[in-house]
Amino acid sequence: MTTTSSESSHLQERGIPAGSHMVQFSENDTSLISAVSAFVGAGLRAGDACLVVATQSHRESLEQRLQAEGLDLAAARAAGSYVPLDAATTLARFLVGGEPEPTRFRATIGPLIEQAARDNRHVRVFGEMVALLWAEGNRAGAIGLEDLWNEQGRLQAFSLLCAYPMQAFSGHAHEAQFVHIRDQHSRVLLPESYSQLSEEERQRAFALLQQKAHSLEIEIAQREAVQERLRVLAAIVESSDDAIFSKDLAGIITSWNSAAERIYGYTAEEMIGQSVTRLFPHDGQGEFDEIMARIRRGERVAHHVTQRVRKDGTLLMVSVTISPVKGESGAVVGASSIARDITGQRRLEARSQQLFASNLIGIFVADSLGRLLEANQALLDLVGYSWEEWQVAALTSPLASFVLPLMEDAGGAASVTEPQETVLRHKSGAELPVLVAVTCLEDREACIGFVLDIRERKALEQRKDAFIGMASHELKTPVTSLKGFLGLVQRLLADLPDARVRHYLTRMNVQIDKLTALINDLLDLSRIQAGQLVYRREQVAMDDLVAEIVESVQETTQTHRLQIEGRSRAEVFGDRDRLGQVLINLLTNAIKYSPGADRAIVHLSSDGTQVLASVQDFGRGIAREHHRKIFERFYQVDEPQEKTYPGLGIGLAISQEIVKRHGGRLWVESTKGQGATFHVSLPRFQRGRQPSNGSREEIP
Amino acid sequence: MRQGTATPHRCILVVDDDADILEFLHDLLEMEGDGVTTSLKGEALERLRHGELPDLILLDVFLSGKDGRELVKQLKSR
Repeated sequence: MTTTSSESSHLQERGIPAGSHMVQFSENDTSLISAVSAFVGAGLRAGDACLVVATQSHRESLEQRLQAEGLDLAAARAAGSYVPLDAATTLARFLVGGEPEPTRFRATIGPLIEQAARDNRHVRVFGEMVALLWAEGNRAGAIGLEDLWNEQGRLQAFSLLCAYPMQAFSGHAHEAQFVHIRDQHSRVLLPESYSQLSEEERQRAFALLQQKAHSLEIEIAQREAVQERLRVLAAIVESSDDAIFSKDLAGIITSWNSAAERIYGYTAEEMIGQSVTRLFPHDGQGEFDEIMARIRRGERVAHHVTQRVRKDGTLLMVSVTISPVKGESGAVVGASSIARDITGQRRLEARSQQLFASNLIGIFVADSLGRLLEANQALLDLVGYSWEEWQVAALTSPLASFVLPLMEDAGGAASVTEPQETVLRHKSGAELPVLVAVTCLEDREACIGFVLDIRERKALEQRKDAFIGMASHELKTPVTSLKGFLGLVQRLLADLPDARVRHYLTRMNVQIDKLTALINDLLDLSRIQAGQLVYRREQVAMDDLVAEIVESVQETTQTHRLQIEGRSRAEVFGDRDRLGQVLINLLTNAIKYSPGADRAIVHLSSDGTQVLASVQDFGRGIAREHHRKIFERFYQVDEPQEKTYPGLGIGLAISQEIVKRHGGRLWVESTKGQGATFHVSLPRFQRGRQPSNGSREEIP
Repeated sequence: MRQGTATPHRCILVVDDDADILEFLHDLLEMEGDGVTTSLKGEALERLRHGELPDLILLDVFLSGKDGRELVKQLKSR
């Protein structure tokens, strides 16, 4: 430093308030002495007392400088206004185990300042003890001593100047300490190179310094974040199911993750430093050269499907993506590879292909617009087209028209449709009844359809339908005649005095009614199986229906009193007669299976969406294991100790079907010995809304 | 349409393809005092086309060979 004028003027011109605690960051000894001599010189001239706690060499330099400026230090020392002390010796007086001890510090420094301050003198202190501790690397000690000086400043009035060599703060690690020390001082004096600047420039320079410190803090945080990211990335690489490895431009492996160890059978130790061509089949050199040429050009080789050789010599199929790795200069220095073992996938694909080629079932693939993309031979055979003809016809073929609705159907929660019957047109124009199911692939971009030829089944069904029609007529006609003639006989013999004749005729009539009911049940069952049961669709007031049915069933029984409890005040949508049939079935069952009881109850209720009718009996109940089976056809509870009941065991099966077709539910609650309750729950009809009654097709 | 049992000479045509049913319906209706014509398999209807209509026709829906509803349509269209 060639000049000290600006620094001196800085320290001299500003009146230094007592209690201020300044820090001087200096670039070298010369600049330090300039700053301290300005501080002390100004004090002596102003009649202040100055305490200088410094190294011997600094004291000597300072005194030479002050005397050169014309100050009489001997006189000042005699007057007690200039008190030079050795920094190391003074420090030793209160240092305990390398730490400044507060009580000793106060006992050492306090009297010195008190002595200097007599006659109401202002006191200036220059201290280098902190700098000594700092230079020894005792950062905590230095900062502790700073704190003690600050505390002392609250007890006694003095101005303190501390000095730190700037070099002590070089390196990022001390940035935070620098900031700490800066903040501990009420004023910061900058190195002389800064002090030559104007005040405004100085402020700016210091602001820059602060910014630098701040940006360094940020950089540290960023480096830590980067390291953290690297740790996370390393963990991802290690835990990946795909082989991930890197190589240089010569193909020498530089890293090798655990999936690579598993897939290729080589450990990292075995592979790192070896050429990647070790994994290539014998004829793989050309492939390797080609890949590396592309990498050198900075290109990425994506999803390259190829063969590799494991350590044990077996071949595997991999899909590998190779990306160039660039150095700091931007030049390609190597490559990273991510390889997936697709051996299993390929095997699966081959199997799917075999399945597709199967001639048991017709298979097609359609795109999201319902256009047919592929069809297997079985399907082509079915419709009588060759593949070439098919491709032409596919867009206009009647096949196409049914795919889209099926796909929309499959778009719901389940991606597989219920198999649906439809009709295809053969090349010859003939109609082909088929069963079609569609499975949408993920994201619905394509669908696979399965087509089953059901011509034979259809023919069989038609024969069965014809049989049902005929049997219906043939069985019912004689029974109708029987009942008709019986009615005539009853009329003719109405006046016969022998009451037994009338009684017998009545009994005959009852049996004929039972026979009629059985025939009707059998026919219903056949129709259900053939999907021919016809349902009307109308609004049905549940309370009225129940009242009516209860009344008519009551007429047939003398043993049981039928009661209705509650009201639903609701309507359902469906076939009144069929729903009535369900209620009749449940009520006659309730009577039939509770021979010892004298009543049965129909409970009615409803909520916002459902209407519930429950038929409760007081019979012997149904054991849990039968709860499901009683709804199966021809099933009857058969227990050795119990009386058996006549019947075909089809009433509940029919009722179940009817309720299901109305979108409802029929179930039983019962404990053996405690009666049974059959519940019928039906969707409530809501005005202005299309009822969803679950019956998908209406057969007129 | 005339009504009630007070009028004795109403004419009812019964059409069915089952002779037994025709017979008991005939007898039943006669007991009630009505004039009844019965016809098997819709043959009577053929005759009806040229003659006069009865007061009432009891027509079986399922006639073998012919749907009762078709016959009604034909009659009504005349």
